Amino acid sequence: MRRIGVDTGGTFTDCVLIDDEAGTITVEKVPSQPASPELAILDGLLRLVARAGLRPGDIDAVIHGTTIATNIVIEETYAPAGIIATSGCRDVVEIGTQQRLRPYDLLHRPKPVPVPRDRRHEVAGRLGAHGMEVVPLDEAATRRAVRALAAEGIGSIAVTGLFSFVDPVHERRIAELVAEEAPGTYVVISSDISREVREYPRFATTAVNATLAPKLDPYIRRLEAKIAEAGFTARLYVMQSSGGIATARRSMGERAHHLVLSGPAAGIIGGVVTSGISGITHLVTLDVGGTSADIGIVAGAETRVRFEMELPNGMPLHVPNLEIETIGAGGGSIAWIDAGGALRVGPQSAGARPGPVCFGLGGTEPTVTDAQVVLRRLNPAGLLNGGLKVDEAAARAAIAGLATRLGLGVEEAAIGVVAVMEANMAGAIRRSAARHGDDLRDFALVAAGGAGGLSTCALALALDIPRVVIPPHPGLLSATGLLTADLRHDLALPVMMDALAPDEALVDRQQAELEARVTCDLVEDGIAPGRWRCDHALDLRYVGQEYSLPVPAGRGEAIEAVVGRFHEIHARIYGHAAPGTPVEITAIRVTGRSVAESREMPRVAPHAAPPKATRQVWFTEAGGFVETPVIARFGLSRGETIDGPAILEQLDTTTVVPPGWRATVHDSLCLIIEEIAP
Amino acid sequence: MTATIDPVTVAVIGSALRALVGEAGDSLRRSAHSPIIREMLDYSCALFTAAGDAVAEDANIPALLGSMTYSMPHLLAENPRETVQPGDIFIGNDPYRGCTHTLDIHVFAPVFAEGRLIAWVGNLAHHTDIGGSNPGTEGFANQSIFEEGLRFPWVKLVEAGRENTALIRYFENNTRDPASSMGDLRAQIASARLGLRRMADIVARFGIDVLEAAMTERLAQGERRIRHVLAAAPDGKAAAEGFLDNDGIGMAPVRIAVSVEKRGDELIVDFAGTDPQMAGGLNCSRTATLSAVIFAVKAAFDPEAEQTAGSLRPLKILLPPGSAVNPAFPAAVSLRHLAAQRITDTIVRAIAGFRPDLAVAGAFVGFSSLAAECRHPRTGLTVVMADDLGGGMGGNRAFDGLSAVDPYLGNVGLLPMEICERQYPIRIVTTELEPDSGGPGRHRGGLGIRRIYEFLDRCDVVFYTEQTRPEFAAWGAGGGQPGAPARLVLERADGSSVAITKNRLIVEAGDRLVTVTGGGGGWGPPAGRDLEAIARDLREGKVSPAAARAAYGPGRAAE
Repeated sequence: MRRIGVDTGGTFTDCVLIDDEAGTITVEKVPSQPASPELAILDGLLRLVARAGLRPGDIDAVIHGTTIATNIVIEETYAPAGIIATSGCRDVVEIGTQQRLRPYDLLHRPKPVPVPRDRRHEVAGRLGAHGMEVVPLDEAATRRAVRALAAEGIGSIAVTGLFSFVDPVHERRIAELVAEEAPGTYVVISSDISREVREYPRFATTAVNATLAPKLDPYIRRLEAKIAEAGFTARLYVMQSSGGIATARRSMGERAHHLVLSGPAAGIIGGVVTSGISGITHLVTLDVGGTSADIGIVAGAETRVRFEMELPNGMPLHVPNLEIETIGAGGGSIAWIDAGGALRVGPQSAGARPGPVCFGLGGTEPTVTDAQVVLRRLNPAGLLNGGLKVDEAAARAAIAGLATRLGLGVEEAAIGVVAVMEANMAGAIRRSAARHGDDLRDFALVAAGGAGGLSTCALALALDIPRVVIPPHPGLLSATGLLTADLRHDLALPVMMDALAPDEALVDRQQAELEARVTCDLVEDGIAPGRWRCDHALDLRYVGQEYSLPVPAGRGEAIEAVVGRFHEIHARIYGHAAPGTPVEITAIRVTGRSVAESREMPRVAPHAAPPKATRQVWFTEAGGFVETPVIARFGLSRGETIDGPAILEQLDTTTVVPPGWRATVHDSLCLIIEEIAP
Repeated sequence: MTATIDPVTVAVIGSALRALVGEAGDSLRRSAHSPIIREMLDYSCALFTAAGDAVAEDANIPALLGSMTYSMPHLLAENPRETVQPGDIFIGNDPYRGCTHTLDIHVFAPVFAEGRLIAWVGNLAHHTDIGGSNPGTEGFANQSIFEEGLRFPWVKLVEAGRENTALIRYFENNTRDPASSMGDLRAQIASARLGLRRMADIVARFGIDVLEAAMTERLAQGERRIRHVLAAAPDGKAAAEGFLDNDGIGMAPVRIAVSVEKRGDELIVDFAGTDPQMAGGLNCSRTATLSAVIFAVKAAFDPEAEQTAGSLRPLKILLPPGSAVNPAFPAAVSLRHLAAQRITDTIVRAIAGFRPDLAVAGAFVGFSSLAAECRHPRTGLTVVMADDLGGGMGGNRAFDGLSAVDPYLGNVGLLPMEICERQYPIRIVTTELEPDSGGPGRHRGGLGIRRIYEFLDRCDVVFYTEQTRPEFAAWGAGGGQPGAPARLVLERADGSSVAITKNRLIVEAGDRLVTVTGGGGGWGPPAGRDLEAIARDLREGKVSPAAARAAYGPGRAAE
């Protein structure tokens, strides 16, 4: 099996090829082309294949992680779409929850509205809470609405109706009428997008889908065509927000919105890979980029999937997604002093352009990266094997300005900037873990992204996390995550059932139905039966609660046992449980997966050790600059240990081992860094 | 205590304290029982110096901003230092002992290190019911605090680690929703204890002296920051007045008068001229008024600042005793939110009077609400449905006002139509924007909401709204015009209908309540409105052709 993972980031497109038979791993990094991401991908794929001495036809699978959908929702550059709403709900997507994103802002910008009001048509039709028809659908009005949207050139229509998750009869009829009146129009109905109660998240998701699909579908098709033209016969898969992958065909149309977290999800799956190779089952992944840091948690070698998320503009999305906490702290985060004299770092960032002062691309504000250069943790002679020049004097000058205003020395100010950013990250990690009642002493911290390795030991110390793991290629963690993700389908059916007097036969019937549907999907995806896996869950809640908890369940397992598990999970997450009080079942879920054929990562052979170098690096523990060994990471052999202070360098990552810590090269070539017992 | 401390340590400790209150807040929310905390986020957590100055605060809902800063001095006054022991947790909720209204229960725990009291952690949460005349305790027609449920003086809920079971059982026995109240109270205790554990970690890492010096410096930084911001703004003084439709019992309007003077790096907010306290339950307790003032000051001058007691130091706030904004015992205060919103709106109006850069028009502050006691459609059990509607905010120099939001101090969510009909015998027929409700202007006021409830069974319903009188609708600014007022109409199944402002009624199956909330005021002369914006409003049906002609002139509307 030869697989390629290709991850499109804001600056670079990372490509990784794993050849299972040969046991080799090949990597390639090319500049991203935001206007036509597929061109950068093609460029990277061809270079990668050539570098590996292969031909395009030798590749079995290409798996893609993309931020194209993420960027559309962040920048609100939606495709034009219309909505046909039944009685009483035309304005739901604009009114939302009536909450403000920034409650202290009197000059608040208008709410995000993916489909403006003049493209939202309301037609008579209403179902009651149990699906009975209260007002019949006005078909003539529906036809007029479709014609009006078509006349405006709208090629995408979302259909939204109250209680459609109970009975989609009106929504389906409207979709038929759209097909009759305006053939070729893309139409999506809310009951196909989500079967969950609460009109706003369901309608918002449907509207977002209708505005994404017209942009994403052509992109996926172009990409498929381009790589086929270049001679690739491999199947194309795309990373979903759930951390699973899906075939290109299943990443389009009514699933377009599943790509919203495609890029970040791959990073967390990279954490699962690290878990697999290092044998450490509980991990916190810290992916530090230029502008922000993504924090993910892998517990028991599994990711955490939830079924609702919020977009940066506050809109809810009903889609299976990995829990990822993002904070505005990265290498480009700007250090500043507020009007009261307080030192602050971020959330404003110099990003890649103008970037940190030391890169000489026009940046003028002191950033975390400048501070790391002043401390000489980042190589002041240059990064990326000399591919990126560093101006140490400029970095010092930038930090010196800050230092003067703080009344500190330049290095003290630099360490201060780093310390404040790390304190902010520590707070975010603690809150992420607390959400599930995790005890961080059971976890290891994994560095991802180019800048993760600079801060992981300091964070581990602050958070009482006993060990740090530096995977072989932290900067390529997302791309490697793509290669090992499961193909995945999540399906759910809403129910409303007393869990203490359940209709077990009905539950069993519905589980069987869902299982048949996902199996059918897996067959269509070309997955061999030996690799099918179905996981079941029931959504449970105490009567009176509004939100449910998904609780893992076995197929045909006694509901009583599942309810017992619900009390346990409730106690862990919420701090209390109420056994003996009424519980209800609100949904039946199934996840169908193809178990990945191989999670093995080829083991990179250690290189011949280049001569050891040293440089002066600032460590607070040492009270200033100390002559510190600078070691090429892949020059180390398995089992070798390095005591801090030390700097371990590789192409795109610098790892800081502080005094009092010891790095050990694990069999997997992961570095495991722990405090040396006193 | 060390004399000086470096700014890096202050920032690192500051980040740790912020994370502490954030985590304490997450813990409270996660383990709370009632939707008012879990879904509407009506709670707050904070950390204080030993002297009771807030150094970090996690305020989710602006109405609670700084509230604990004003209750803390009462706790300290009633409990001399020598009586406070490690493991104690105090409770209080009395509006006449520094709290907001009886439903907001405050909990404080002292932080000891090496035998010394060095700080306090605290939280406050809105409970579902604390007894009194009405379900949910709040009542517009309450005539004294004795109709508003239990009042705890500042006593120990936990003494040296041992729960005061007599007090807790007494509390449990006096609320309509004991399961929810006890669950929420336990969540508050757990949150305070989490804060104590995190403080112990911080003390272990930095030491008592450094921590105390950092807290002192944080207060000084907060003070310097707001003084710097105030000094940079032009000096000036302006007065404004705002009115409540009535006092909850009679029909006469109630006047809120405020003057705001900015002089150098200080701000004086004076409510002289405000009407005497009201007969009904709409009085704004002293602490609730102070929270409204600090919200308005923060929003107007420095919305991004972290809230600490330091940022309150340059404020001088004068509240006439016995007035609607500082009522004397035993006035009823449970529905203080209606007055607090109007107070906020009036302060914003006054500040805008001398700060041309704060160019914003008035918002809908009517908070149209209904609470219905009814039978669950499936189980037949008695349930209480509650829904609160926002409206439009004012247009401002940058944008049209937000439509359909809970403005200023509030920020609560709307009841989903599908949840309502599944859990209550009430069908929400429509939820839509109300055309023509936003005040015309260069930047139009936001639109109000029209929501129609159809009752499918008999219900005992409390309705109330403010801002129904056109003269008290959201004000226009800079030449902009006012927004539309709110209205509630009950349409009986027999074809009769009646307009309501505040009422408690029995409704029958087939009756409908039509709630239309007000729009925001417009900013800038309508003649200055961009033609494209007028065209968009017409296209979107947010403004009718007739209203556009009236507001923008027949010529411009026709174009």
